[in-house]
Amino acid sequence: MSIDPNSPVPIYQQIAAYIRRAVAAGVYRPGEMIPSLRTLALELVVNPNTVQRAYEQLEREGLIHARKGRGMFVARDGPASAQSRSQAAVYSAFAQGIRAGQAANIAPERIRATFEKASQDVSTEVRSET
Amino acid sequence: MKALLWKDCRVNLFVLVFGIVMLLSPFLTGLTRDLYAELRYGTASWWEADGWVIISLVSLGLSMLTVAMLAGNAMAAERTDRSAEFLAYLPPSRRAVITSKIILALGACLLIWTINLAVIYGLVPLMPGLPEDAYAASDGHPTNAVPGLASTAVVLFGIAWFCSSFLASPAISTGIGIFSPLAVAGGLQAVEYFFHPPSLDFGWWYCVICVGLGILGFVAGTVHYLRRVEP
Amino acid sequence: MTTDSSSRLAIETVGLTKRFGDTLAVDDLTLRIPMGSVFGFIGPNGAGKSTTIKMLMGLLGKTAGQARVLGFDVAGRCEAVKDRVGYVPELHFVYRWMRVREVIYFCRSFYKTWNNDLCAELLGLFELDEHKKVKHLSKGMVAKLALLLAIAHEPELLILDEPTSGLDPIIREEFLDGVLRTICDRQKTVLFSSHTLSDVQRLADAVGIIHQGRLLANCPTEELLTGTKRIRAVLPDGCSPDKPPEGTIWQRFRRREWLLTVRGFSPATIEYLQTTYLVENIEVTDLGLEDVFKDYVRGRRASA
Repeated sequence: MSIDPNSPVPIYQQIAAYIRRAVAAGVYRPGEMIPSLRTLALELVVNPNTVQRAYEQLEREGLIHARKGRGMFVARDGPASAQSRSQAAVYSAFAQGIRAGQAANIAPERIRATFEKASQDVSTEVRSET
Repeated sequence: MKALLWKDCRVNLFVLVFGIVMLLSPFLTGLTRDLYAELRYGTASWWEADGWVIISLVSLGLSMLTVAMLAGNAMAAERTDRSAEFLAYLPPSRRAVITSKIILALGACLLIWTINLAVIYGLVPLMPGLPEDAYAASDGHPTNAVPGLASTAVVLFGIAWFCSSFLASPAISTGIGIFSPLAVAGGLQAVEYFFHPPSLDFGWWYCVICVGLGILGFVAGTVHYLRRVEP
Repeated sequence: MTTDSSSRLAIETVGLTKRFGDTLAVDDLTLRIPMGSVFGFIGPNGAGKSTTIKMLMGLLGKTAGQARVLGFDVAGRCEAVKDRVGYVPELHFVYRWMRVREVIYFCRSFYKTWNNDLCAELLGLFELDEHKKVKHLSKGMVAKLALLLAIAHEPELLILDEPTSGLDPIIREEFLDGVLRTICDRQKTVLFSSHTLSDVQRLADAVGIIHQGRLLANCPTEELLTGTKRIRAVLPDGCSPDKPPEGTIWQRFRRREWLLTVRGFSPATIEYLQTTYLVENIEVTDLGLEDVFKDYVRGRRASA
């Protein structure tokens, strides 16, 4: 996994999103330890403070909790929390798309139609892959 | 300090080797000649005092170049490859850096002179066949050249050191150093020619001016190096 | 000697100025870098970054102002600081006749805190051949050697001047890895100037944008990026944007499109635009560090 420094999305949010997706997908299960600050910072080549910020956010969301002196562990209801956050991220992506449509003066009905079409196309993609 | 001295020795390695050659070659020549005479003809004048004095003076004369190069190289050599800028951000203070340079340059010069003076005034008097008034201050005796040579060495060193402190070229600094005794001598000649002073002891004045200028150059060069911001 | 507030600051400059003849290379620079932070110094070529760094290292005299490094005034040429600071210059002038082993032996003797184990670890990490002469090392190898010399004595403050310029991507990664280890393991303060904005965005806690000797921005990286936005406003015919909102650092008006980059963006900015002008359409986008940087410089050039 690597972060994109050129993206307007703050790096700590990119890191948080990655961990969230990993927990939602089951890469890290409840009770398991996620990579330490140092490990992740060296792997992603980012300032450890940034990783800390991401972890702090995730802790506030209830996805992970700290065990004194041991590191950060996935909370029991972590995956559920990750799911709902991921849903929030999807919402943001949709909202962004809608705003882009509005900025281009596209009528709301056409925006909705575009969403339906995209939904269908993506499902077809997934079906053809499996 | 040890590391600085090691570094300065390595930077000046060529000059030091050159210096050893200049110092020893007259002696080796003399010894070789005597050895040859002994082996070939059995007539070695090993202990001819005058001969050894001349050899020693030649060694001192050749070493003038070494003296000038040691001084000219001191600070300017590290400016040509800009390694002075590297040293500048390392912990050693300016004082430590220049102390190391002084120890090496001055130390080598003093060694050259000590060896030769030891030969002239220490070793030679022990040789058999030395006339009674050998070291009397008589005109024409080779040892009369010693004060003049010493003063020349002082001005060579001092002026080359001074230039090395300001310039970035060791060659130019050495060159100006070598030129300085000629300038002093020339200046005195000019004074004699234009002003006809009643009694000008050329030798004495030459020595005084050379030593004065040399010491002044050395001190000024050292102070300037300690005070300037750029390495 | 050191006041209470200064001892928490690794670097402090007040009105630092440097003039070369008629040219003002550094103009009234005021900077405070707290201990333990990573500060990225960005600016176009000739902006004054190297000059500032050289003044902090005592390699260049200042024309006016004050500067303190680890509490010590740089004018005093306090040699005590040099052994607590690691410096990697832009151009390297390590003794070319020395072998790597000899350079290490030479430098090691000057630092009380030299860590032999760390030095050996870095030699391995950077794949430096101890027996090679410096003049036979490639540019990237020399850069890594310089970094090794700067980090091996575990300095409290690490100053890097354009450390990765001209290095290939692999060596750049090794270099950053070396720097990052210092940040992670030892909680040190780092000041680095760079053109590679992605490096700055990754590593820096705070960013300083410098242009023609003046500091245009100095704040935490996060704040700079979340607080600066690009706005595209479509204005009706005949409308001309003569009163840009507060915090505008760059703007361009073409046809009916008014592009502006605003620092310290808030919903009030949108309100202002909507009330001052009859905007038909407004779009707000986030910017990466490179765009923010370019807009600062372009905006500065336009107003100059």
